[in-house]
Amino acid sequence: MKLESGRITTFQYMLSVVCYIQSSALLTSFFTPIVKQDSWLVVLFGMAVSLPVLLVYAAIMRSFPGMSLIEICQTVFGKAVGSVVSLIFIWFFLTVASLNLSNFGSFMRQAVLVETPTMVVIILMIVLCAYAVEKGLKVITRYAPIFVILAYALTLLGIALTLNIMNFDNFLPMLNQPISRYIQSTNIIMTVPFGELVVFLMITPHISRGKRRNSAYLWGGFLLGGTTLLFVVLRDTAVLGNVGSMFAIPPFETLRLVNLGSSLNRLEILFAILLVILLFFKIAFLYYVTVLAFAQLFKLKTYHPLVLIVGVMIIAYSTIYSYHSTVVRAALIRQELVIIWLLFEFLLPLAVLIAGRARGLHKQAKAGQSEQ
Amino acid sequence: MIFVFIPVALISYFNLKWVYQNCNKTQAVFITLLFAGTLAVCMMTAAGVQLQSMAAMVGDLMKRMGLAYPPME
Repeated sequence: MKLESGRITTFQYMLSVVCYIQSSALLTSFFTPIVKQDSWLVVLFGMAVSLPVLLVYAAIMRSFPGMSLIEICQTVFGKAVGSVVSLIFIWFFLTVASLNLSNFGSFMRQAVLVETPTMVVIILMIVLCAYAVEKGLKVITRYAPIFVILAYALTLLGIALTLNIMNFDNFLPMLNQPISRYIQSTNIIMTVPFGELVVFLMITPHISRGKRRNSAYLWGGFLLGGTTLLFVVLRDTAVLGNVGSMFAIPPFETLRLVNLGSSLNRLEILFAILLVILLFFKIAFLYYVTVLAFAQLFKLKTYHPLVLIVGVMIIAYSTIYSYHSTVVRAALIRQELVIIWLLFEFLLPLAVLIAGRARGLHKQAKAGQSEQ
Repeated sequence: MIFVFIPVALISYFNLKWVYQNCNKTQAVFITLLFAGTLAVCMMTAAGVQLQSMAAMVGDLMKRMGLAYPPME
């Protein structure tokens, strides 16, 4: 029995992937201070290195078309080991949701609502997300196309309005830093926005059949999202140069510099509004995936009784992260978590794929899907 | 603390009621533990106890093992 009855179209799925990646614009500050003017190159390296990771996800989607990641784990590894692996994945989903919520709270506190306690902002966001999660996947992904168009429009508008203050010498010198910095930054970009696409394996059974394989839409989303991130980093480097590495949110500072007469300035508020919208999508999606994973692990008939308590868990967990300052949290992510994330985003999915194929379970899964 | 306890306890009460009516014993035990754990963490956080996140603990362990990137200059 399926916990989620609604199905989303392949187009919605693809734009959800784009939206998820675009919401990481806040996180460019994780790698820009490390490689400075070469950040745009690192986005390209990260996209290239992410290709094998996405190949694994695409292969999992093709091999087990009617199953979510938790169901695949339990089928491939058996009940006991599968449950342990599922719990590890749930912890990962919960941690990513909490870190994003914590980053959202910090951003609001630093840039928009400076006198409002972070907890108020966090609770309001989770209440809104809980409503969306309660309504289901269709509601969460319904507005993804609008969010994506808004993000593209603002990125292009930002580029057009900052053309007069761009300095292309800011990209020089190229590739003059120690190789270890490029490796670390590539690891960050690979694990933070791109590798996190592993969460989309949870909704594979809820995608309607399109003209192409579902994995093709994952690739499309990855390319569109990656391109946006590349444009954002290129624009920020051209405008801010190496000074950009000093800011917590470089895109916000870039748009702050737009000043075309007295009528067109303070455009950074548009970025803030867009970021809130994109982060709402990301947190709601991660929240939904966590709730769904718990319900599938416990084999519940519906996920609704878990919605509020998982929301409380995400708030509690993000509060624990909020004890650290933004700087300490960023250091934790860029020095240690990006290495741990490789386990969840590459090694475990690869193990699932190899074990499933070795046991011939993918043929049964495909046969079951075609019977339906 | 009371402002944290009341909403979480109410959520737990109504949702667990549904769980006890609709789920088997094993499921009910696991879900009760989940709710109890969440309530405990919320109460500790509300009492001002600074808990260490599991990710930070694993991160510290990795740092001690030398499996982490160096801090930025």
